[in-house]
Amino acid sequence: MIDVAVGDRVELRAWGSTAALVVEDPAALPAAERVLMRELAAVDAACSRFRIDSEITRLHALAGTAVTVSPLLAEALTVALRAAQLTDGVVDPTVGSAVRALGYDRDLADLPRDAPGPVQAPLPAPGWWRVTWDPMSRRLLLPHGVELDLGATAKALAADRIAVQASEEVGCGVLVSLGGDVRVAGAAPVGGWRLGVGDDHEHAQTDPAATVTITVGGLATSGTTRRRWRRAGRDLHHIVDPRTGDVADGYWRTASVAAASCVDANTASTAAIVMGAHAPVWLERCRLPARLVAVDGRVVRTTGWPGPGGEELA
Amino acid sequence: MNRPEPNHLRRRAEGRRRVGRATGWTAATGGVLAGVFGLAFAYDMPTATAAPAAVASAASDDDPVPVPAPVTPPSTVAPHRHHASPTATLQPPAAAPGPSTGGSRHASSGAS
Repeated sequence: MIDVAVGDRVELRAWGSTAALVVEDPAALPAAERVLMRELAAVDAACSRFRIDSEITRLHALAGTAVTVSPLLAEALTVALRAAQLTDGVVDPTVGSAVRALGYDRDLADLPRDAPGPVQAPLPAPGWWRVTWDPMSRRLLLPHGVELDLGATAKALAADRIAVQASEEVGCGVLVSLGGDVRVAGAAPVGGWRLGVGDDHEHAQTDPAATVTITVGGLATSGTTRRRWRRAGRDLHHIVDPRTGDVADGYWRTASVAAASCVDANTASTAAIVMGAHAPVWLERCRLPARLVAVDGRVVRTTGWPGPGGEELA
Repeated sequence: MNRPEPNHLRRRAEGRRRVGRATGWTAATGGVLAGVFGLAFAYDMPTATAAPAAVASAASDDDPVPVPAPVTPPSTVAPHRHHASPTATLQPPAAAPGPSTGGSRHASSGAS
C-alpha cells in the first residue's frame, strides 16, 4: 500500500521498514512505481523466511535433496554466498536458526518487544560452505539442519534490481531506498542525490555534516538501534555474529558504507558491525568509503568519506 | 671362541638374500598399489573447480546427494569458485560520496 505519492516520490511500508522511490522526472513516477511493486513482491515471494508459501520456506522443507531454484532466488543465493566468502563468513546466510533461536522468528511487526522468558542458547551458524550451490544449473543442495536467512543481502539486492530496472525502463535518474539501503541509477540530479546518514532511516538527520551526496552506486547503513527486542531482561537485535550465534557485540552503533552496488555496501556495513574494532582497517583495505559511529558517539571515517575535521580517520 | 662355522655363515648369507628378494618384491608391489590407488583417488576427488559440475551431474530430485559436513571451515582448501560472483572483491563506488552543499535530502540511510 502506498503511503506517500507526491511529485517525484513514492513511500510505503515494506519488510518492517520504509521503502522510498524517487525519480528525476516526475512523469516517470507511475512506471517506476510499477517496477518497485513488482520487484518487492517477487523478492518477498522468493526470499522471505516469514512466509509459509515463499520459495525459501519450501526449500527448507526439502533439505537434503538437490533442487532447482528460480532465477531470482538463484541470484539472491549467489549474492548471499558471495558476501559470506568475501567477508570470511562474517556475513553468513546460514544464520537462520541462530536468528530464530534469539527470538526473531516472525515479522518484526508481530514480534513481542518484551517478554519474560529467556531465549535459547546461541546457535553458531552451521557455515555457508556447507551449502552446495551451482549457479549455472541453479541446483541447490541444502544440508539438513541448515536454515538460510537472506534478509541482509536480499533487501540490498532488491534495491539494486529496482533502481537499475526502473532507470532503464523510464530513462531517468532513480533513487531507491529500502529501509535505508540506498541504490541510485541513471543520471543523478545536479549536485548528486543528497542522503542523510544516521541512526534511524525513518528520522531525518539535522546535522549537515551527516549529509552526503552520491551520484552512482549504493550506500547502506547497518545498525543495532532498530529491530530490537528484549527477552528476560536482555536487549537483543537482528545483527547476529555467525561465529557465536549471538547478537554482535555493541562496538559500533551504526556503520554506513558506500560501494558500487547496494549489495556490496550492505555486505560491508553488516560485516563492520560484526567485526567491531577491526572494521576500519578492513574497510580501508577494501577501499570502501565508510562512516562508523561507536556506541559512545565517536565517529570514525575511512578514506573517501567526506566529513569535517575532528572526526577520526581510520 | 664363538667363531662362526662355515655352514653357519653360508646359511646366514642365504637368509639375507631371501630377505632381500622378499623386501624387493614387497616394495615393488607396494609401489604399484600406491600408483593404482593414487590414480583412482585422483579421479574420484573433485577439485575446487570441478566440484560444482560433479555435484550437478550427480544430483537429481530423486537422488539426494550426501554432503560432507565439516565441523570447522576448511581453511586450507581453496574457496569454492562457484560461490564467487564475477567480482571477486567488494567493489568501491565509481565516485566517492561528496559533501552536501545544502538543499533538502532525497532520502535517509540509517538502521532499519
